[in-house]
Amino acid sequence: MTVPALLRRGLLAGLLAGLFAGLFGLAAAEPTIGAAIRLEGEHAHAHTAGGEPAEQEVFSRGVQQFGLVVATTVTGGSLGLLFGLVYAGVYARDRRKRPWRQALALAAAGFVGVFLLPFLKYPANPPGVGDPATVNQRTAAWLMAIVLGVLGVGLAWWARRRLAEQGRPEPVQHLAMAAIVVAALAGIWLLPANTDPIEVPAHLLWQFRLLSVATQLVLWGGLGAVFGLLGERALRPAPADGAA
Amino acid sequence: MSAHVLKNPAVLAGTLAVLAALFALFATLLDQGQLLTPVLGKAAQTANYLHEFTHDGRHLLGAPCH
Ligand SMILES: [Zn+2]
Repeated sequence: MTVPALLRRGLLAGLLAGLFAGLFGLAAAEPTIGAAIRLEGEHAHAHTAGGEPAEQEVFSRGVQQFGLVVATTVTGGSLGLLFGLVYAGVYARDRRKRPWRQALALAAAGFVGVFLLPFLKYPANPPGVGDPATVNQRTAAWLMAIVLGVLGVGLAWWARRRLAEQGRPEPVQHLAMAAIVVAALAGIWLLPANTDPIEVPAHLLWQFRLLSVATQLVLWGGLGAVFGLLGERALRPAPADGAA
Repeated sequence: MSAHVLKNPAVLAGTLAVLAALFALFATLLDQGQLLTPVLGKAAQTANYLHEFTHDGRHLLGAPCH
């Protein structure tokens, strides 16, 4: 399998997975986002009573809901391209060719490294939380957490492979992986805390964060599944009369 | 990186894919008006079009937002 072919497969799988994630977000999370935005509006109104009028929105809620699906689809496509490239690197010498299992394993690693480990330190917040003045520091810390998460999962993956090649038993391989992931998590924990006040009700915050995890599960699960299915299909011998 | 290496189709495709992916991820999850500033000037910073358009997605995907 050539690199450009794997990139095409990754792009297609990522766009589809991002679309699924966006439609899931539209159906499941938009009510929670809408509730948070209404609270944000009331809050701003209470603070500027008698003062300037509330800030004019650039886009209507409908456009922003469409933007949600566009954002997840573009994000999915981008992650899919990177996924295809990493897949090419990780499985380049693998002669066993089990695309379904390999794609799901890599998607699980991506979910943990790119999303879950950073999320444990910097969980997603609904609209209305976050001081615009701190967005650059928060962004830098979040990107650093992603770098550490990807590094940790990558090292764990590499260590398991090395130990397996040396004939070490599975418990040793898996415990080494766990130790490396925990070390990465400890590194992420040392990053500066997000000090922005959270003024939304706890149940809304909890619901939003669960929905954020669920959206990422749809995204990474969809990416692994579609990529794996495309890989399985590519393994089948082409039908003699089939058009190219 | 020499031009010779970039003639390898795998390396060229991989490099282009990484650049395209990072650009698209920046535009959808991180941009605070920077990308549109060359076109729209100061209006891009104040209105923050890309951020506002992808606002719900940024929040849901866990990216830091305003
Ligand atoms: Zn925002």
